[in-house]
Amino acid sequence: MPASPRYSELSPRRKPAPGVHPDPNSPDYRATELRHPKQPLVIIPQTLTELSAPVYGDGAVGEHDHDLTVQHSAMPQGQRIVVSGRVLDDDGRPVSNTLIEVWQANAAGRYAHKVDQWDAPLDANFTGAGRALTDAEGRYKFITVRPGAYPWRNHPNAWRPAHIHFSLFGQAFATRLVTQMYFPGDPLLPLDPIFNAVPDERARHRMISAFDLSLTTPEWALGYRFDIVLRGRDETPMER
Amino acid sequence: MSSLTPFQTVGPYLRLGLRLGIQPATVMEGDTIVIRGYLLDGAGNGIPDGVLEWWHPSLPEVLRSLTASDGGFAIETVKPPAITAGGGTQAPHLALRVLARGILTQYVTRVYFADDPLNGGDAVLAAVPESRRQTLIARSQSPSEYRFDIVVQGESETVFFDI
Repeated sequence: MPASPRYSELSPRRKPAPGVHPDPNSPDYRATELRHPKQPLVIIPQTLTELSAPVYGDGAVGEHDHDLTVQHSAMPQGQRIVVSGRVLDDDGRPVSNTLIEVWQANAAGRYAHKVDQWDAPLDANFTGAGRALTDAEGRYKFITVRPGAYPWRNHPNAWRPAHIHFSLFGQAFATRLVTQMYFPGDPLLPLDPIFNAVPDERARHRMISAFDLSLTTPEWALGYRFDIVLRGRDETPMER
Repeated sequence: MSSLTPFQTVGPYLRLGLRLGIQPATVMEGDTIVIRGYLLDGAGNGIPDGVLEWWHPSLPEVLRSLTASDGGFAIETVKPPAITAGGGTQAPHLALRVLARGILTQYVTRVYFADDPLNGGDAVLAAVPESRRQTLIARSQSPSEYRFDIVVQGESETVFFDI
């Protein structure tokens, strides 16, 4: 039986290509100024802590949690859409049974959140939060309304492009992803400091959903496809 | 060629979507402790719109704590055990992730406990320059209370990890 390797002898974990994730210091997004570390990140050995697979509230997803249009007494205002896709790891394997949490503004661009004081109307029939678990093939589906763009005070005449926030856990503490899904053809994208904080153009475009006629439901809702790729899970020390 | 989906900030409205208040389904055995501290920005101000996700390496669940209007937080849990795996023993610690508006990725750190005799042999602590190691160690206030501030920028900046 081979001896157990020490942490330092584990095969090096895969690293994302440069330019995929934003630089924490992105001056065009002003809030990063006082919220980015100035010291370099410390590279640590991958241990059970980083490689094991914690979950968050597994099983806490209700039957209608994926449908943001049925959470109140009537339908919300706005363009009804289906957002669906697959969650894969960067080896192309489906990430099954992983929790996805989403949140978004309503069709007018207003969040149902006390911090959002813009005077666009709230919609009593729209909270803008949902959750779903991926199936065995990594598929998920949300039904919602297309969110509106909204102003923010980052710079003069700044508007966030329409987006839906996505939060995923993946298969290990180290594979967590929080991202934003954007819509194709949005003229605000080239102007948005958060979208453009991702240096690599191809990586940026992976955050833009695609209109998909096969997801579009006749007489009912437009469909957008949004596939998500998480970092793969490396071997844990216990599995060696 | 990477195919990864990029990180984006949680933004200011994270409380809308990130479900809170989920209680651990697994009973955590050990001494009950509370870790209190502040999440601080580069001007020394509390970050009021942050979420901490923390994890006992021996448990299957991540838990969440929000910061208050002054950046303060409280993590109520039990003292984690040492972890032996992969030919080494890790000192008791919590894994901790910080997400907030103005944070475009995630800041990952660990909370170790002052005076734990295993700290000296911990491979992760050993990877941290000695001058900064104290930023990862919660100070004991009483047998059940610890103090741990998370400084995202500045003189006593917390060590964050490239994982």
